[in-house]
Amino acid sequence: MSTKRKPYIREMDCCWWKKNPFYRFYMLREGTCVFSIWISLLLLLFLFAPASFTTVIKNPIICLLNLAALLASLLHSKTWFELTPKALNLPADRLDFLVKGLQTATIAFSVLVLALSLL
Amino acid sequence: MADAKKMLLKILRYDPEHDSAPHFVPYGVPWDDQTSFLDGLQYLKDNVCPDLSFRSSCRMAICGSCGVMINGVPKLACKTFLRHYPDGANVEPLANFPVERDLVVDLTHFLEYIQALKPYVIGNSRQPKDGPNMQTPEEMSRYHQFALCINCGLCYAACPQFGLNPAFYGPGAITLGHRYNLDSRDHGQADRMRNINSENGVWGCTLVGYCSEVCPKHVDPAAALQQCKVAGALDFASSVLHCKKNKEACHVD
Amino acid sequence: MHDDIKRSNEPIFWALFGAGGTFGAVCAPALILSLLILYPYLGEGAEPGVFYRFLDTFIGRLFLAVFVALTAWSGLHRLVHTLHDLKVHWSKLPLVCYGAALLITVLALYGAFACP
Repeated sequence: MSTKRKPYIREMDCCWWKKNPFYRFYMLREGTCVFSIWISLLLLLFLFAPASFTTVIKNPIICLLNLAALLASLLHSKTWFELTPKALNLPADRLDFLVKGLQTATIAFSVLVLALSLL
Repeated sequence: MADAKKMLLKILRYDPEHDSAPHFVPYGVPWDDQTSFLDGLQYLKDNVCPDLSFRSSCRMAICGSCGVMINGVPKLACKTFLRHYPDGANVEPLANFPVERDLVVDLTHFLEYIQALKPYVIGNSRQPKDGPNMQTPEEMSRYHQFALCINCGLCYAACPQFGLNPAFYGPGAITLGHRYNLDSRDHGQADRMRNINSENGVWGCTLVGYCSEVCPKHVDPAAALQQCKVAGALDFASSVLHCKKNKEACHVD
Repeated sequence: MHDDIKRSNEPIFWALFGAGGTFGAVCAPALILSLLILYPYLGEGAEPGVFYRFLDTFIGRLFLAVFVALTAWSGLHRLVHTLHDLKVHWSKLPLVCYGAALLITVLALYGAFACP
């Protein structure tokens, strides 16, 4: 059987995410994973060799990277808590309670750690 | 409408018999505050280019036929109005699907995946003489929003994971399967879970979330897929623990 | 159609990603600030802060090791998917990334249990 069909497939290139602000923010969100890996490695060093860890984090470039990691972790926290309710089939008021609870836990943990670091 | 002002619409045209690739063609469309993109396309077909191909039926956002990309965003042509695009707009066939001709895409993948996910009540032996199968409002509220899907495919055009891997079942089909998994009258979850937990199932999703953004019926497919991941992970754990003897045990809330 | 339905092993990595992502969302900002930015000023010297002394105890080191391990799993899982998004098709990528996460886990737990 002959056919006149010739479906055209529009290939996606690796820059697909640049064209849409929603996708750009998605890539920014996913990009925080680089900093997750970074802090994981630095804290691993802290567990093994606190002395060389101190030398490393005093380096101004590492310092800047760690400030960027702090911003990335804040973005991660914000987006993670916003998306958590999607995974749970619960009434809206209970999801709201859960998200507020997680946000409160984050703030409480941060205040506690900072206070105990200063004491 | 003859004297009305004209708006520039650039339409991606593709004739499989003559064109090697789709190309934009500019058209002027008369419009007023009530002109939808579907009205515009119909005007062009009736008056300018009778060979222009596009799908449409109900013109009231319930049949799900007229999905197109408007300025790169998946929209129903009947539910989108020219007045919101004073500088004109680009109209393209739905992204991520093969283009059949002009604005018509090949939805075969999508339709096959819907079929594979069995979006209907399975394993309910109730007979008409038993009377209506009642549900509480709570039971219905668990799946109700997912039941509003009209199978328009906009979520597939919004999903880069489907674009990157056309074998991915995608947002719409998995959401429809999930809608029945959540239905208290249905007993088909174990059956659907095989597809959902397969390599091209729900795990291809990375929660981009644009599907939920573009859905014209305000369904939240991204939520359905995350809930499927939770159910899928529990199903995985129970299969590891060999708890599969009793099918009831595989029902995951 | 999908007749060859093969169960995905992704749930394991997704569960670790979820655990690490949640742990990190709650704890990472404070730990970065306290350990990676303020440590040279507050954690060293004659009288380090209470939190730094806590991290010298076994429970403290274990807490940090679990954080390190789960953050690695979560970050590397996301990296696998992000590189897929960027059309990096290297078949050994998941093996390398999850292998690295496993290595970090073993090292972190070793660090918590064995090192001073």
